[in-house]
Amino acid sequence: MNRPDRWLPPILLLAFGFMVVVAFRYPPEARLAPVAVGLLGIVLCLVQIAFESWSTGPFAARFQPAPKLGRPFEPLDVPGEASVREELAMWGYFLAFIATLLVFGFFIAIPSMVFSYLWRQARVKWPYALASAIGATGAVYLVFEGILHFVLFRGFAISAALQALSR
Amino acid sequence: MLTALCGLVTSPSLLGYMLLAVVLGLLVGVMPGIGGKLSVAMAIPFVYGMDMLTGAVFLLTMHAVNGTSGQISSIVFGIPGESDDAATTLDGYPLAKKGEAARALGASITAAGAGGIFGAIVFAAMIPLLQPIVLQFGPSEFFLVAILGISCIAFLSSGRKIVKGLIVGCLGLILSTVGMDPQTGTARYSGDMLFLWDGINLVAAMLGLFALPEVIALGARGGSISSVPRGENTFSYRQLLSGVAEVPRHWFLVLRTSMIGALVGMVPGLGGSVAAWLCYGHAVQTSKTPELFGRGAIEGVIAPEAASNSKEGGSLLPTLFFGIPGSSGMAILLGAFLMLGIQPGARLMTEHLDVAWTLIWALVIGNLMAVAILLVLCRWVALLTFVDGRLLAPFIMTFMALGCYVSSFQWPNLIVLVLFGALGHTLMRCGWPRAPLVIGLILGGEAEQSLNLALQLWGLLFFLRPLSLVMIALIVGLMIYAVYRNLRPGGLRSAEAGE
Repeated sequence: MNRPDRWLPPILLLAFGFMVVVAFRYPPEARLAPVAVGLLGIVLCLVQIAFESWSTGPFAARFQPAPKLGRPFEPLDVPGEASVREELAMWGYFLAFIATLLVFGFFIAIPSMVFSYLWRQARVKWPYALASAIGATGAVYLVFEGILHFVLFRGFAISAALQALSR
Repeated sequence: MLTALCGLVTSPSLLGYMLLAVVLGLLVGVMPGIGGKLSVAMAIPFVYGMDMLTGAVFLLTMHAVNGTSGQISSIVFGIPGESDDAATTLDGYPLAKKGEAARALGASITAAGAGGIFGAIVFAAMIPLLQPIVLQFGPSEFFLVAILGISCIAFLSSGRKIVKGLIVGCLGLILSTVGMDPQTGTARYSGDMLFLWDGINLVAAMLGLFALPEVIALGARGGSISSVPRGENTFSYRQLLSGVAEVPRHWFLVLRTSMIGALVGMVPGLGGSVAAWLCYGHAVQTSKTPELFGRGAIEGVIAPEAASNSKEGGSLLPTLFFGIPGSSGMAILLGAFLMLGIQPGARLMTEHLDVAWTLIWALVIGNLMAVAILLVLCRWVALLTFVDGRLLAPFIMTFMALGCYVSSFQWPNLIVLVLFGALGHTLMRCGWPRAPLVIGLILGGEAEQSLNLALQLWGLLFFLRPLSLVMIALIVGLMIYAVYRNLRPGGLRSAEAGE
C-alpha cells in the first residue's frame, strides 16, 4: 500500500466509529440516522481497506492489467515536492489570514494578507502590492459597510480594546 | 410563464443586476483557474442582502454565462481554461492557426449562447412532464431520491472507485446530522457550541470543500492560461460575423448537440466535459467531412460549445425539483439558493413556480446578453488570459472569508471553513471525490426528516409504494453495475491506478 491515500480509509473508519459510539448516547429517535449511516460508513471503510490490501497483496497479480502496446506505464499523478512546498505556503498564508482575522478583524487581516502575499509570494513590487492591499480594503469597506450596511467582524483584540476605551 | 418574463424585463434593477452578473461571469470565466464554482462562491457575500429572486437570478446568470467566455483561450491560444473547453481546442486552435480565429470565436460564442437558450427551453419543457411525477412524491420517495442522488453522484464522480464515493457520501450524510434533532430537540455532536445547533453552515462547508482547494492549487500552480505572445493572431469583425453565420447554417447540429447537452446536464454527476466530448464525437460521426476534424472543422467548435452551455439548463432541473445538484458548481449554487430561502423540491413546483420560470427566463436573457457583449468585446476579453492566476489568489481568499462570515454573521464559521478546506484538500490530493460529501450534507437533513415521516406513516414497509420500488430498483441496479465494474478481472487494479 504505497499509495498516498492509504491512510484515509482507516482515519475515516475511526471517525465513523467515534460518531456511532457518540450517537448511542442520544434518544432512540435521534440516533437512528447517525447510527445507520455510521454503520454503513464503517462497513464501506472496511471494504475499501480490504480492496486496497487485496490489490497490493498476493492476489494483486491477477488484477494487473496488461500493458498497452507502445505505451509505457504512466506514473500516478502524485504532486512534486515543489508543488507540495507551494501548497504548504498557500495554506500558511490562508491560516495566517484567518488567525489575523479572528484576532484583529477584517480591516487589518485583508490588507496584511493581500500585501504580504503579493509582495512575498507573487513577487509583485511593494508599491503595487501596497496599493492593491489598500484598494481591496477600501473596496470591501465601501461595499459592505458603506453600501450594504453590514458590520464586519472586528476581531477579538480590537473589540476588547474598543470596549476598554469606551468604559 | 409570461408573467415571470414581464416581471423580469420590466424591472430595471433586476436587469441591471443581470447585466452586472453577465459581465462579471464573462470576465471571471476567461481568467485562469476561476470556474463556475469559484465565481458563485465569490459572489455569495454580495447576494446576502438581496431579496430571494434578485439574488437567485444574479447567481444563476453569473454561473450560466461563465462557460461562454471560457473557450476564448482554447481557440486563440490552444490552451483550455477548464476541462469543459478541451474539446473546443481540437478544432478551434487549428482554425486560429489558419488565421480564422475570429470566425471560430464568432461560431463558438453564438453556439454557446444558442445552447444556453436551448437548455433553458428544455428545462421549461420538462416542467409540465415532471410536475405530476414530483407531486406524487411522498416522504418515502424523497428519502429514496436523496439516496439515489448520492449513489448516482458517488458512481459518476468516482467511476470505478464507487466505494470511495459512497464512503464520502456517508460522511456527508452523518455530518448533516450535526445540530438539533428536529424530533427530540437533542443537540447532536454539537455540545455547547450554539453555532452548530442549526447544523453545519452549508456555505462555509461548500466554500471549504470546493473553493479553498482550488485557490490553494491556483496559487501553488501560478502562471497565466496563455503564454503565447500577444498579437500573433489576426482578428476582423467581418470574419467574426461569418463565424456567427455558421451557427444558423449548422442549425440541426446545434439543436442535436444542445439536446444531448441538456440531457447530460440532467444526470447528476456528469460534467460539462462529458457533454462536450460526447457532442464532439457526435459531430464527427454525423459530419459529411469527418476528415476535416482536428484540422479546423467549424462543426468541431460549434458542437462542444452548444452542448456545454445547454447542460446548465438541464442540470438546473434536478437541482431545483429534487434538490440534487447536477455538478459541484450547482451544489454551491444550491447552497446559495437555500441561504436565500429557495427550498428545492415539490414546494417549488406548487407554491413558487414563478421563481422557476423567472430563473428560466434569466437563463435565456442572460445568454443573449452574454453573446451580444462577447461578440463585441471578445478581442479585448482575450487579453485577460494573460493574467497570472497567482495574483488573484489573495482576493479570492478575501471573498471566501467574507462569504463565509456574512452567510450567518458568526465568526466560528471561519473555523468551519478551515476544517472543511483541509478535508476538501485532502480528498482532492488523494483523488477521492468531493461532490458526494456535499450532496450528502445538503440532502441529509431532508432525507432524515422524510425517513422519520415515512416510518411514522407506513412503518418499516414504507418502501413498498410503487414509485419507491422503482427508485429502489434504480439504486440496486446502479450498485450491481458498480460492483461488477469493480470486481471484473483488471477492474480493481485499474481502478486503483486512479482511472
